[in-house]
Amino acid sequence: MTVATEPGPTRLVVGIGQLELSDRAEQPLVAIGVGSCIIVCAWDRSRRLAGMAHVVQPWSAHGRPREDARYGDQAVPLLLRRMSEQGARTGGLVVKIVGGASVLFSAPPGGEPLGLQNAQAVEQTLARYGLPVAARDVGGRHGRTVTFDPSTGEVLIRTLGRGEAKL
Amino acid sequence: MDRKEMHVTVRERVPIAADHVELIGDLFHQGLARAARSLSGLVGHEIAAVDGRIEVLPLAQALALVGPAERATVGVHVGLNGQIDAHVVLLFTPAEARRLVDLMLQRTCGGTEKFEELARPALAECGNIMGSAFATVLGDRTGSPLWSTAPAVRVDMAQALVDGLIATAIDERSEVLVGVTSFAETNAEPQIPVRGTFLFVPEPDGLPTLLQALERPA
Repeated sequence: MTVATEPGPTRLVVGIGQLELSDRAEQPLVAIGVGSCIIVCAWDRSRRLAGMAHVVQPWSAHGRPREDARYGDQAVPLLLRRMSEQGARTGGLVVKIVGGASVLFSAPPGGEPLGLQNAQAVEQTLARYGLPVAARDVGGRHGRTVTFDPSTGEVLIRTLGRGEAKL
Repeated sequence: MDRKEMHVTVRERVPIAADHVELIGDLFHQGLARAARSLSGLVGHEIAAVDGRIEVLPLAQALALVGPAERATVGVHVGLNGQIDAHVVLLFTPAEARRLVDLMLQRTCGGTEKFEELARPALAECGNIMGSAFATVLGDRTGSPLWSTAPAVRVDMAQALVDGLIATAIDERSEVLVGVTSFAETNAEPQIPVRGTFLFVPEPDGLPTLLQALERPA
């Protein structure tokens, strides 16, 4: 994980299972081609600090505490801690979530769609920390590219053939 | 939903060993050969698998196999279920997919301009062939039948098509066992190859069963 404070590329790509922060208006956080994964976007208005986690699976292995942004139950506390270390007031964060689609592969036999499970795990974990979800664009059968602007907290969602939307 | 009701929870998984990769590689090539024969019969031209290989890759590298994450891509998915669960996925650029549909429907090259009524069933049939080939090979080798799910055909961003599928297959080290190949029409005149990416992704929970079967004499 890095905090983008040095000059660099115009966007910071948050890969699958990764977590990044940015407090630079010219360096938005971007997750590209999101299917069943959930993108957690948390924003501290006073610090203009944005944090993004790219969650792959809902829950980590039982009995194995560790910090790993791949899993919904671990990505949320990790994101909060990293943002707190950068001076954010975690109690006042604005949180938005995007993704959780069933694009090509939806569910294991007899199971619930993975994207839905990811969304539920993230929301349950956020609730445990007293953080409501301010806005969400979750589910459906289409991929999304998510761009998170640290200066405004705005989340831009781009799709293939379905245009753009803002949260 | 309560956590106990969740179906996809990552369990402790044993890292995949090198000798296992070799064993599964043999099976993968058998499946590819069978699928190529069936596909050739369907399109009336010889189709061959090219550079087929089994690899254990970190998650990011496995996802990179599909090409640029946001590129428009045609995906065909067939699930294999039974004692072993696995996935077969075919990925094409839209141009490649149209070329394949031309072949399957015996049209002149360029005859398929968009994914109209007949194109999706044609691609689904291609997925059926690949899925059935691997279900047969896996079932014969393990002595336990596998059945394939109905094919799903979608056009979307490349990574969005496969991120969930590959995520279900990660092991304890976040690595994925994946078989990958391209296939091409070998005697096209003029030579316009049909190229696609084929992924074979067994789910880790079934790997011990598969390996036991492979270690027995064929």
